[in-house]
Amino acid sequence: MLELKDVRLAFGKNVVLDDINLKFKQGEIVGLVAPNGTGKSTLINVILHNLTPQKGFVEYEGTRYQSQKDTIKLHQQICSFPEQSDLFPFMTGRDHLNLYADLWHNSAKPVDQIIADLQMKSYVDRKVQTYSLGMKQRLCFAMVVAADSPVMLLDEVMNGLDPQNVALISQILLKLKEEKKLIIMASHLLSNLQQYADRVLFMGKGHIIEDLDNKKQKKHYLKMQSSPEATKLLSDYHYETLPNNLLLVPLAEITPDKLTQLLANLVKADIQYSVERIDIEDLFNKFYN
Amino acid sequence: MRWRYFLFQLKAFLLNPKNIGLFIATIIMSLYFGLVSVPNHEVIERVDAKPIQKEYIDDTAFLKVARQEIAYSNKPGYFYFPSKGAVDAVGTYPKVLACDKQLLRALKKNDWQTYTKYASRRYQYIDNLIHTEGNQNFLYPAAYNKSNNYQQDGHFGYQRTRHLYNALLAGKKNRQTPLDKNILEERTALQVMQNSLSGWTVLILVVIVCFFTADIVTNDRKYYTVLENIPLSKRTILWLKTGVVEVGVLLDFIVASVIALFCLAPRYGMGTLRLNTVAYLGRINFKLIFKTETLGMYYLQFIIFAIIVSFIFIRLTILLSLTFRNDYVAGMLSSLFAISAKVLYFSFGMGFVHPVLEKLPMTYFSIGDSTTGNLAYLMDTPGWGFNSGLGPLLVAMLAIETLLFLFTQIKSIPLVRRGD
Repeated sequence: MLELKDVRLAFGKNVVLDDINLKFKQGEIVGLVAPNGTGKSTLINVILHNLTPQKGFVEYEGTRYQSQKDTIKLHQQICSFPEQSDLFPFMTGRDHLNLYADLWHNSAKPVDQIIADLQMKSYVDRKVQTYSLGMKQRLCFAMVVAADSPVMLLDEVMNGLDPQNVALISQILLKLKEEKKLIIMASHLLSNLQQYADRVLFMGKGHIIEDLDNKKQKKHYLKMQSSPEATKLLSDYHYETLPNNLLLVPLAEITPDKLTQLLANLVKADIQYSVERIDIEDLFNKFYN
Repeated sequence: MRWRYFLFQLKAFLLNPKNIGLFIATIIMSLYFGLVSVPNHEVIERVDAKPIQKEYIDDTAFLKVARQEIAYSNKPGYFYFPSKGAVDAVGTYPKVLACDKQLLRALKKNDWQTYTKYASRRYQYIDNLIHTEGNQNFLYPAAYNKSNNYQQDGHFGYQRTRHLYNALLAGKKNRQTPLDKNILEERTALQVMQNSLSGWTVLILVVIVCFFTADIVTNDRKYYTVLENIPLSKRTILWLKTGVVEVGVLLDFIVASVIALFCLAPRYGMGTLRLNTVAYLGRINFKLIFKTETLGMYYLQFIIFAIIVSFIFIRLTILLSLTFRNDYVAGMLSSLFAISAKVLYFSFGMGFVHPVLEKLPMTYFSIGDSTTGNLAYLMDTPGWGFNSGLGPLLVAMLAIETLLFLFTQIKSIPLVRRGD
C-alpha cells in the first residue's frame, strides 16, 4: 500500500499540498483531477521524492524515503511517465524500452511483447527524432510498462493521442490493473477517466476536495439544462446548479410519487432531461467553476 | 540492470557531436604525427656512412698535417712549439679514426652489432674529451642545445646515446632482439611513440580527456525525466559514467595509436617491446646515469601512469561539473589544471628547484617526461620518475574521490537539476 501521511508542501507562502492524507491500494487506477497549477504534478513529484515535503511522509510497503538506499528501493517499485521532449532523439524506441526494462528489471515480459501490444513494431527501431508526438507519447507509456513496477505514475499520458491510441492505452491500463498495478494518473481527459478509474481525486487549494469512488458510485441524478422554467419547476426540490448551467437533482431525495409528478411536468414544459450518475466532468465543473 | 544503462550511456557518448569532433581531431593529429611530423623529424645521431666518411677523410688529413707539425717541432735545432690543435689531434684522432674505420666497415657489411659497439665507444671517448678534458677539437651537435645549455645538454645527449647503444647491444646478446639502422636511430614505430608521448603531446591528450568528460553528467538535464528517477544511486551513476568515458577515451587513443603505428611501421618498422631502452636517473656525473629497461616495461609504466592520470581527470571534471553545473567551466578548469605544471614551471626551464614540486601531482601529468627521466634531467635531481609520481597521483585521486563521495552523500545535491 502507498500512503501519504500529513504531507505538507509549500513554495514560499503558496501552500500546494496542505496536510494531505491518502492511501492507495494495489490493483486500482486513481485519477488526479484539477485545473493546471493546482498540485497534481507536485503530488506525483512528492510520491517520487523529487520534492521533499516540509511535513509528513510518503511510505510504500513499509519503506519511507529516509536514505539513498530507501530512495533506490522505492524507485525500484515506482516508475513515472517521462516527458516526450526528454527522450533521446538519436536513440531508437527499442533502446529506450530496453533501458527501462533492464534498469527496473521487474518483468519477465519481453520488450517485443510490449511493442506488439502497443502496436509500435513499425517504428520502434527508428530513431526517436523521426517520431510524431503520438508515437513519442506511446513510447513514453511503453517505457513505464517495460519497467513493470508495482506503482506507475502517469502524468497526462493521453496527451497528443488520437482516439484510437487513447482506446489502446486504456485497454493496456485495464490489463495492468488486472496485474495488480497501482496506477495514479493525472489527466484532463475526464470522459476517459470516467471509463476506467476506480477512484478520482479532485484537488484544490492544497486539499483533496473530493475523493470519488468511481466504481461504487450509485447515486443517480436528474439532469437538465438550467432555464427559468426549469428552476420554477424545481423550486420545491433540493437541487444544485453547476457552473455550466446544468441542474442536478439527487433522485434519492425525491419520493417516487413526487418524481412521477416532476417528470410529467418536465415533459409538459418540453424540458429535456436525463437520469444518470453524476460524471467526472460534472464534478469538475462543480468544483472548479 | 547496470549493463544496459552503461551501453545506453556509451551509445549516447559515441553519438555526441562534441565527442565525434574530438575523435576526428585526435585522428587528424595522429595522421599528422605519422605522416608529417615523424618523417620530418631530424635525428641528431644519424646512422649514416657519409658524414663518418667525410669526417674520416678530413680528420686523417688533419692528423697527417698535425703529425708533420709535431715532427717539425721535434727536429733538432728547431725552436718551434706545435699548436694545441695539432697536439690534441695527435693524441686523440687515432682512437677516433680507428672507431670511424670500424663504423664504416660495419656499415658496409650491415654488421649492426659491431657498429653499435664502436659507436658507443666513440660517443664515450668524445664525450669524455669534450666534457671532462675540455678538448676543443670536438663539438657536440648544436641540435642538442635546447635550453641554452650547450655543454650540459650535449653531454646528456651523448651519454644517453651511448647508454642506449649499450642497452640495445645487451638486448641483442641476452634476448636476441634485432638491431638495425631504424632501431639505432629510434625511428621504429614503438620507439618513436615512446619518445613522442611526453610534454605537450600528452597534455593535449589529457585536455581531450577533460572535454570528453565535461558534459557526461550535465547532458542528463536534456533527458531529465527519462533519467530522473531511475533506480540507481548517484555513486553508481557516476561510476558508470566514468566507465563510459574510460572506454570512450581508450577507444579514441587506441584508434589514434593504431593510425600512427600504421603510418610509421611500413616506413621504419614496428620495433619490438623486447627492445631495450634507457631512462635517466638524475645523476649525470655518477657512474650509474641511466637505467636499462625493455620497451615493454616502459610502456607498462606509461600505461599505468596514463590510466591513473586519465582517471584523475575524468573524476576531477565530473566533480567540477557537479560543482559549477556547467560543462564548459568544468572542461576549462580541469584543462587548466592539466597544463598548470607545464605552463607554471617547466616552460621556464628551471634547473634545481625546491623538492616540493616533486610532491605535486601536476608535475607528472605529461607522463613521458617522467618515465623517460627527462624530468629528472630538467630538474637536475634524481627522482621524478614512475615511483616518485605514483604517490602524489594517488593522493590526488584519493582527494577527488573523497570530495565526490561527499557530493553523492548529500541528499540535497542532485546530479543534475532541470534548471541547471
